[in-house]
Formats: sequence, C-alpha cells, structure tokens
Amino acid sequence: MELPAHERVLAGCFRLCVLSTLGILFLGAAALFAAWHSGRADEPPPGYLGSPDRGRMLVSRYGCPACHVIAKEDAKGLVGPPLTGFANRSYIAGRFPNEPIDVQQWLQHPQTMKPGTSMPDLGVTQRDAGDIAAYLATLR
Amino acid sequence: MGAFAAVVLAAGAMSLVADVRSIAGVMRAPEAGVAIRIIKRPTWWELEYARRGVAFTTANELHIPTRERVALTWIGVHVPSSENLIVENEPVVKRIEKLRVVADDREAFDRWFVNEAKAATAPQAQGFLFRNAGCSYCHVVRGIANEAYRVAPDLTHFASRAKIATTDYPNIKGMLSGWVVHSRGLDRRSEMPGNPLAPADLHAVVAFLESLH
Repeated sequence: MELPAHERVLAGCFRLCVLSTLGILFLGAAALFAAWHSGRADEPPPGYLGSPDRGRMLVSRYGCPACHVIAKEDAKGLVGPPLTGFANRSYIAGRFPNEPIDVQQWLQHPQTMKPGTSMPDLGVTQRDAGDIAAYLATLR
Repeated sequence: MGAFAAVVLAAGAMSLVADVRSIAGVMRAPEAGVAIRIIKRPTWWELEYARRGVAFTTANELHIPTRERVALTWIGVHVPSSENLIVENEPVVKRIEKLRVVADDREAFDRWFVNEAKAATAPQAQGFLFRNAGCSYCHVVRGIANEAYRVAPDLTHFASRAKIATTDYPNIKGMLSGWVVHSRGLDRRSEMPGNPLAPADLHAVVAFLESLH
C-alpha cells in the first residue's frame, strides 16, 4: 500500500530517530565498558594497594630493566634474576616471603634487608615501592 | 679520512638536537672560537676540544655554543656535503645519530667548557678502587686514572652526561649499575667486557662515577 507523501517522511524520521537512539546507547555502553575495563586493569592484586600501571612506568624510570628481564622492554638485563612470573614466586632475594610488605621493603631498602647484596638502594619512595610491588604482583 | 667544516648554529637558547644532520655546516675555517675534533670509534665518539690554549678530551655528548662559529673536524667519518652532515652509507648514519648534540647559549657553553677542562676530584679510596677494578685500563679519568689505553670513552666528567654511552638510557644509578656489570644487556654493540664486581665494589664504583660532575 502506497503511503501518502507526508506519512512517508514521518516514517523516515521515525526510523532515523530509532537508529540514532540505538547508536547513542551503544556508544555510551561501549564508553562505560571501556572505563570499567581500564579501571579494572589498574586494580591492584589482592593485598596490594598501589597502582600496577604506575608501577610499570616506574620500573623503567628507576632503571630496573638494566639488571632484570621484566616484560617486553628492549633492555635485556641478566645481572639479577628475571622478574617474569613474579607473582608465582614463593621467596624474594632467596630469603623473604613474596608478600606485599616484604616486596615493598625490599624495593626501598635492599642493602638494609640483605647487607652486601648486589642490588643497590635506588632511593625508591614508599609510594613508588607500593606501585612497583603491585605491578610485579600482576606478572604471572 | 677527515673532513673539515665550520658550523654556526643559529638556534635560540639551549636546545637539544638529536641528529647532527640538523646542524647546517659551512665548509670554511672558523675565524675564532672553539675547535672540535670528532673521532669515530667503533661504538662511541671521542671528542677533542681546543679553545685559546685550553684543550681536553671528552666523549659521546657533543656540546656546541649557539650563534657562534665552531670548527668541526671529523675523523673516520666522511662528511660530503656542507649543507647536511649526512654520510654515505646507512650504518654510519645510524651511528652518527648516536652522537648526541647539546647546543647551549654562550654562557652555558662556557660554564660547561670550564668545568670539562678541569681534572676530576674524588677521595683517594674511590680512585684506587676505579683503578683496582680494572676500569682504568680503558677509561681515562683525568687526575685519577691517566694511563688508560684510550680504547673507551673518557669519564672525567661522566656524571654531567645525560645518557649512558651512546644509548638512550638515562644516566641514573639503576641503569648505571646494570651497565657496569653487563653493558651488553643494554646495548648489544657495547665493547665493554662484563664486570661482575663484588657487590660492595660495584656500589662504590657507581658512587664514584656519580661523583664525576
């Protein structure tokens, strides 16, 4: 059945309206999901309080890859042990349990915790140590 | 093979140029000012400075004053064009790009020049360790270790350089510690042998290097 001209226009408008509403809803949902997802990615593993994302950035800033293979950095440091799969390690530095507080203390004061170790005190701040510890705990 | 070029850098105040090709060269002897011999070593750059009777050797970080005529003598690198310091084949270009160029205004350059011309000062014990650990076979630190074979960069004012060797890695304690022990982990081309020092000696050598401002 042929619709009159003005009704054809109305039907077209209606369809456009429905489609754009759906489109806006979809984009909104996608944005919400992205925000949720990225927020989730930076969530610290249980027991940790720092930001893994910031920790990953700090690892390069303090020069850790010069001695440790950690992820896909271009440096291939073999001076110290690789930190890949760090979350699954039972001990750190061969003597401390791989627990949040121990890792954080180790990052800040290796020379105090294990005098004479080859890992230097790099002046890592408490906040930075917390973030790096949280990042290392995401490496499975 | 040497090439001779005088260079005027007309940039503004302090700027950091990553690529020597951005310096416009003029094939003409300078009327005055600083003369620099740039010597290409296999994996690093030796830089010899001379100005009004003051001369010294440094490495890897080419400092030049802006708005001034500078005499550049290139040794071991063919610099064919006066306009662009582009060399003939790719690998050399890449290595040339590893020569960092720091262009400072006259005042900052003079400060750098005066400091760079001085010998290093460090406690006796640290200098002894630097020599004892074997570093001084290859590296000169003027005033502390003068008898090296000069097969490696002069380190007299190493701490004043922004990066380690010809890498893009910042000259910070963490990077430097790893570099001293195993430089090839950071740069496969590095000729420096591994130095698995006793940890206490490693920390002391790194502290010594960090004191060389």
